[in-house]
Amino acid sequence: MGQALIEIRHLSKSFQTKEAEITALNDIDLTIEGGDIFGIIGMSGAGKSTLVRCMNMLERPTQGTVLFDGKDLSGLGEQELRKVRRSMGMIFQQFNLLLQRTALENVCFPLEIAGMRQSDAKKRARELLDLVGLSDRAESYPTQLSGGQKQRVAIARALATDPKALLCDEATSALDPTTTQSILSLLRDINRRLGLTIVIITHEMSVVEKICNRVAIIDESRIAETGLVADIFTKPRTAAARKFVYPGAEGQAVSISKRCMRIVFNGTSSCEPVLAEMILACKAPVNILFADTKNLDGKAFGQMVIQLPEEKDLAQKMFRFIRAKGLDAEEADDYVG
Amino acid sequence: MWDESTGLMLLQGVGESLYMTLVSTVFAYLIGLPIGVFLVTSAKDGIRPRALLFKILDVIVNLTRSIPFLILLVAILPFTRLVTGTTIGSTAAIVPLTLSAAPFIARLVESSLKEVDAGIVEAAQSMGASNFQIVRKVLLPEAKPSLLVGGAIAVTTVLGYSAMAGFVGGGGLGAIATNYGYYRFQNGIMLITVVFLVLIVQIFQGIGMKIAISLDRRK
Repeated sequence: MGQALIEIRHLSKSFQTKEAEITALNDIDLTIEGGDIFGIIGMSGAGKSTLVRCMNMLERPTQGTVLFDGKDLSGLGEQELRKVRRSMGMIFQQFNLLLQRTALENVCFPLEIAGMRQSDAKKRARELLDLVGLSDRAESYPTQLSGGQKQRVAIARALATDPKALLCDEATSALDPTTTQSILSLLRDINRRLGLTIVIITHEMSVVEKICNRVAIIDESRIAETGLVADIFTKPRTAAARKFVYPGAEGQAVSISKRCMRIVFNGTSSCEPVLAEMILACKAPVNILFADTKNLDGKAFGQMVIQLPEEKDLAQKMFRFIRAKGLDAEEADDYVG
Repeated sequence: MWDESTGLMLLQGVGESLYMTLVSTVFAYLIGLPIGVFLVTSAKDGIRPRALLFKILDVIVNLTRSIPFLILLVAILPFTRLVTGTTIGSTAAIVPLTLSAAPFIARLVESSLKEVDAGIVEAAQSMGASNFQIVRKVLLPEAKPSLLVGGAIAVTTVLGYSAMAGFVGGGGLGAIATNYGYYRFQNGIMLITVVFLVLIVQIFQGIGMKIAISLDRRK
C-alpha cells in the first residue's frame, strides 16, 4: 500500500473524425496506489473506457504520460509494451472469451502467448479456474456458460500471467444484480489474497460503494473529483459527484432546513423501513436529530425527530407519506435537542 | 454408344475433374489465404492498418475478379505454357483455375475473418499478443467454421470453372460434355456428365458444411 502503481500525468486523448476533432480525455491526472481498488465512474461517453485503455496503451494518448510501476509506457515500442501488458490483466463487459476454446484453453491462452510449455500452462490454468470456483467447468465452451461464469473464466484468464494490476472495463454491466455481487466479492477476495491492484470502470455508484476504496469521477472528459469513497459519498463537492451519490436528484443540492417533523411510532410493524421508503419515494435526504425507538414483539414504539428539506412541497410530501403509513406526524420546527 | 469404353471415359473424366478442382483449390488457397488475412489486418480497423497497401491490394483483387474466366484462360496461355510446358489437358488448366480462384478465395477469407468479434482481438492485445499470434491463434481458429464453409463454396466454384476449361481443351467432365454432347449431339452423355457434376457439388458442399458444423463450438 502507499506506493504509486499507475500514475497518469496531464493525459489527453483526442480522436480525428471527418467532421471534427473529438476530445475524449482532457488533461487527466490520476494516481492509483498498489493494493487499491480504484473506481473510475462516469456517464457513458465521459471517456472512462478510453482512459482505462490508455493505462495499457491499447489507446495511445495524444499527450501526457502513463507511468506503470515507475516505467513510462508512452515511450515504449510495441515489443516492450507487449511485455508490460502481461503485468496488467484486463476484463471486459462482453467477456471477450475465445468461443472456439474451452474454459481451460481460454485460461491457457495468455500463457501460450507468453511462451509457456503447454503442460505447465494447463496446470496453472487449472489452479486459476479453481481460484474463481469453476474447476468443474474446465471443459465447457463459453456458449455453455452463464454470464457470471464467463466473467469468472475471463478473470482467471486475466490473472494467468501474475499481473500487478487488473483493469475492469464495465465488467459487471452485462450481469444481473446477484451475479454482479458475486463477481464483486470475487474481485475483492482476489485483491486481498493476492494484493492485486484493481481498477474498476463503471457507471454504477453501487459498484464503487461495494468494493472500491478510492474513486475518481470523470465528467465531460475531465476528472471532476477524486478521493476516498467514504469522503466522496458523504461530502460530494461537485455536481458531477452528487449526480452519482443521489441519482434521481439530478445533481441538485437539497439543503436541509430548520423545518422538523416529529414521528411517533405507536405499535406499527417494525419490519417496515418507513423512513428509508420515504427518502426513496421523495428522492431527498433528511437528517435524524433525535430517535428513541424500541422493538417490542415486532412492533415499533417511540419517537423520532427529523430535519426536512428546505423546499415546502417536498416537506409536505414527506408529511403525507408518513401519515399515509398510519403514523402520527407533527410539525416540530425549531427543535432543540 | 453405351459400352465399356464410354464408362471408362466418364470415370476418367470424373478423375480429371477432381484432380483439376482439388489441386487448383489448394494452390489458390496458398495465394488467397495470405491475401485475405492481409486484407483484414491492413484495413483501417485492422490490427496493423496500412492504408496504401490495403487500397492497392483491394483494387488488384477486384480487377482480377472481374476478368471473365474464359478470357483469363486464353490471355495467360503463354504463362501457362511457361509453367506446365503445355496449354492443353488437365494440368495446364490448373494454372488459370488457380489464378482465377485466388482473388475469390481472398474475399471469402476476408469476410470470414471479419466475423471475429473485435473485442476478442482487443482482449488478445491486452494480454500482449503479437500481430502474428493474433492471426494464428485468434483470427484463424475463431473463424474456422466460417472458413470451412468458404472452402466448400470455393471447391464447388472451381469445379464449375473446370468444366468451362474443358471447352478449350482442359479435359475432365467439361471436355466430355463439350466433345460428345455439344459437338456430336449425344445428349445422353452430356446429361450424364451434368449429373456427375451435380453429384460432386452436392458431396463437396455437404461434407464441407458437416465438418464446419461439427467443429463449431458456438452452439
